Amino acid sequence: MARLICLADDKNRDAHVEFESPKRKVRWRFVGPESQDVQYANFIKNTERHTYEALLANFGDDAALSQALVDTDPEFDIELVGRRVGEADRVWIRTDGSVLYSTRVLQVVFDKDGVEQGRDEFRDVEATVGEDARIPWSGRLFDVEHVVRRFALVRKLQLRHVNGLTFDFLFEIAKQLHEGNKMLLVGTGTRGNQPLIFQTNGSPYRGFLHGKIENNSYSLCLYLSNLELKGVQP
Amino acid sequence: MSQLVVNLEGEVSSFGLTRITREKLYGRKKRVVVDDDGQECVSAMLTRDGTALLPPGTTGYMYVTGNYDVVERAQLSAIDDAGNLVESVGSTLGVEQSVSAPVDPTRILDHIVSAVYQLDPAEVGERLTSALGAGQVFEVRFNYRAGFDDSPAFVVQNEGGIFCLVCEEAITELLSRDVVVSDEVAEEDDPFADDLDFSMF
Repeated sequence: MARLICLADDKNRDAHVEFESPKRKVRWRFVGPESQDVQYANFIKNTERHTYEALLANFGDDAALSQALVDTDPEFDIELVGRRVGEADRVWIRTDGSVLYSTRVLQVVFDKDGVEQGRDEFRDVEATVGEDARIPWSGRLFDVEHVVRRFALVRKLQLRHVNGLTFDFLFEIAKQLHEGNKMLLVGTGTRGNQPLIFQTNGSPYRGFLHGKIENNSYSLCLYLSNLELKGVQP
Repeated sequence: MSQLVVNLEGEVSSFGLTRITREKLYGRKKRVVVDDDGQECVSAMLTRDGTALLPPGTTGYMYVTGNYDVVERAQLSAIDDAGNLVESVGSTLGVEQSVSAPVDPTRILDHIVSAVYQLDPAEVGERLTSALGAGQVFEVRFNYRAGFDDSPAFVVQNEGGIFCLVCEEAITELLSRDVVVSDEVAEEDDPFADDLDFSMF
């Protein structure tokens, strides 16, 4: 299904439009020595029964383990080592290698020096962007030069019309921004000051809308940023 | 120390590089799974046939041919879409990058930023200092380590310092009324399909 968002303009009219990321160009790929195709594949090196800790628990002490390594090959499973991992499920294990059948998820907060500030139960953070969540016109316009020198624009989404009416709607927004050489701050919530989150537990972003028109064509792109250009101690 | 060296019409300037991340600016939030006793646990893979439980460090990636012959990294070469060999590109660090004139700041909007470095001035010429201070933007090529392509990068200044924005090209098309809009976007084209991130603002 197409992903739609509900966007409002400066006249407080809203419309559902599509968005998509620009396609990335793959400029090269690896080949083998005879120009044959290669795959980057994941293989089993070892299993939980053959780690140092597991072997030590099995043999009792380092001396016994050392002797076992000399006498036999207890450190690898000949049936599994070198096998492609293939499809696998994620499980959680304790330090002793035992599997958890029920989990408790915490959120741990660290400050910018890496010092833990606290931990609490993890709660899902719902998406704020979607068909049913109207993105208001914030009215906060910034010069393009200001935005590109203050924020790292790490993602880009192109907004696309879905019919003739939404072509006119998006064209008008693009024209307004193009003629003013401005970018519109885009957020969610009634005042447009909350972050954009595109899926449950997704990254939160600030958005900036940029428009360009040429004859009867337009480009309206939503740039996303989660990083300000600020100095740190080298 | 890694350095970006810029040659602006014969005037050479050099900067130390410090990577800027969200973690360094804002701290971070991490999701931790604990057992009934509150002890932190780690994630592992369980193969679908149940024969192997794979904790971190028990798997490894390799390049293999269709016959599962291992290809060492030194034996690999790169080709483009037309099948032509792609020459390797050296690191740009410490190598003079020539710039002749500033670029329009809107050129950054044809890209997305993949990495940000703070530039710590080691030796900066007067012309570059004055141009960056006036808000001008310069484009250079950037390649942290040798590989098969380099990237465009933009040098900008604000009141927080001088920064190098390493970018990927992200050109979008102009849309006209008669452009056929997509009826359906495949699920794999969802730009946020892999966007799980537990470090919130």
